[in-house]
Amino acid sequence: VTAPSEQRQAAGPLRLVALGDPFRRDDGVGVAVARRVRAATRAAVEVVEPGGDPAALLDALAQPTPAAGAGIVMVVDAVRTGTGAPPGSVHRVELEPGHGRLPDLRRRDSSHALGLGEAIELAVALGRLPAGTRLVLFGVEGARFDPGTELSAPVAAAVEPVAAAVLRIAGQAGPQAQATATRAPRRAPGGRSG
Amino acid sequence: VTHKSSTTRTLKVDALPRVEGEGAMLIRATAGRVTAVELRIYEPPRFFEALLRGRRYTEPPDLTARICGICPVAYQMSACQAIEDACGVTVPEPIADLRRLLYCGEWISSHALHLYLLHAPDFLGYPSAVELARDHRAIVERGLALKQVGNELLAAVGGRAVHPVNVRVGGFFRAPTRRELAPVAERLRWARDAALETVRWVAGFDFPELTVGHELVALRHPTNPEYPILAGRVVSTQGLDLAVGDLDEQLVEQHVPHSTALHARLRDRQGQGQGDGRYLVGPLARYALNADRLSPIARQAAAEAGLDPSCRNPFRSIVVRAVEILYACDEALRLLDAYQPPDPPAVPVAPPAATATGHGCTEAPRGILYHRYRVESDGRIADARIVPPTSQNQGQIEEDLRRFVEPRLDWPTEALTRACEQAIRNYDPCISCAAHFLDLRVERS
Repeated sequence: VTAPSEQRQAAGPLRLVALGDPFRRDDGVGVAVARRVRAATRAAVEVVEPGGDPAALLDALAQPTPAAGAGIVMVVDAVRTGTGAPPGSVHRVELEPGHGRLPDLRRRDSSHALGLGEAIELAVALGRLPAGTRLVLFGVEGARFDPGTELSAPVAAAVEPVAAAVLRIAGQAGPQAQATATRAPRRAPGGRSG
Repeated sequence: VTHKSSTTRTLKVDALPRVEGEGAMLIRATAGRVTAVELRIYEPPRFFEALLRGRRYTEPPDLTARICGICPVAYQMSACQAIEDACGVTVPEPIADLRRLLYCGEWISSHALHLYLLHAPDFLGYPSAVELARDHRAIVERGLALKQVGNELLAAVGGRAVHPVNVRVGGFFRAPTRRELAPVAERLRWARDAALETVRWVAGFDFPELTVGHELVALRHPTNPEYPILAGRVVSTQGLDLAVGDLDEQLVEQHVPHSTALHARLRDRQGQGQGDGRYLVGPLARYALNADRLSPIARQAAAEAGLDPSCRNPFRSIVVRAVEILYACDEALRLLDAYQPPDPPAVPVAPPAATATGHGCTEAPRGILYHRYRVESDGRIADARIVPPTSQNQGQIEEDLRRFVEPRLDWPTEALTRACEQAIRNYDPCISCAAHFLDLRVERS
């Protein structure tokens, strides 16, 4: 039996950061996944949409209370890998910042003034992501990024499986996450934020 | 990536990082002369102008705020002014003051982001804010905290930090109480000190040599001795002096072959040689034309930083931005000190009796943002025109690059590329919603 304090430390925050611009077609896949996860009210996942503000992305990644311990931060965004992967393909990358080098996430063609990779590295450099935090990135290969609100069909078809994967991770962390939720009402199941 | 062939040398970067959005850049040189500089930006406000047609006259502030996540307040304010102008309404001073207070939050937030995270690394030789943070954590923390204070002010007055929801034609939905604003006043006192330290910090940077003869354009109030944010006539360093309503005729927007974006020019200056109507808006222009109107603390900091209103080196715009953060903190504190909630928080604005055209122009963080609306008597918008700062600066950014690159063509590829990026960032170009990536290429024959 772990002491309550240790249990809390083990739990940490469980969060989904949804990136992208819903007015740029497939770039809206992150927000679409976020909606789907929010609708599953039993998931103890805090969903954050930092929008276009790079500093908000930094805050979204950062632990509000690093003392609470390492948690799980999931990020979903549209990507264009140029690898020939068909639209709708889901690339899943797991990272442990502070433990070895990050893969090269500094996409120089990112539409964000501060790209995801830079934001992660900046959060580490500023001590806002405690070592041991599990970062799970879901990149959905997009096809169209011109102005518009419709996801292309293969990208729309990826929303459900990505949301399910997020919920599965949340489910595995379930009991601990629920314990966190009861202690911290702001991260209540299905709680809104951002 | 360097590509060499027998006749041309091509320098290629996949995208220019640390600008708000995406675009493309090509520089071509032949026999030691720069023969072409093209900045390609896809300009989204065109869609908004079409989208606004047929909408209710109350909708532009919220709709156009969506054009930008960094400067939504600028869009809201220029839109409100233009609609109110068309409807024959002038808001009372307390409402105008609350708007100014909100706008200060946006200046602080936008300038702090650009200065600390996007531009400062260039001057200190860091590839990005990440490396800057590793070596100077406290400095980056200060920048983020400054930006956060701007966000808190935006949230306190506007309801939330990004795309504020409290703004309406005629004023605000609800005026915050003095008590609600007290915590942000406390934070602003810290921010004012941090801003002063920021000015001193950036004043010590090394600035590449570049002097440009741009016509600088900014607002300046004919009577109120205030640094321009929300009001004034449109003036320039070459004697331009226009009412906001004259901008419609004076600003000519041109298609250029290499871009879907429009380049704005001054009609009266076209065909007069050198500049051909190109002009520059933003911090450097505001400062050149209004340095005497800074508050004492900001004026003194500018003097200590070695800034002079005659400064024409775009690389020093980072110092002007720092001074403007300081001014915005100081001005917000002044407004908070005198604050009494406007009652009512908004004045009624009815559609005009007959179709009428209204104009609005305010100083967005990146320079003047002009809106024009024609409003029908039934309250529908017949047409709209929006001229954002970056489209006005595009021509000058290209001109700067031409002048900067030519004497430095013998520089190593990597260093020249980085310097070009830095020169573009002097203007904090805001092309957030742009559809194409910024792709910097220098071709040397």
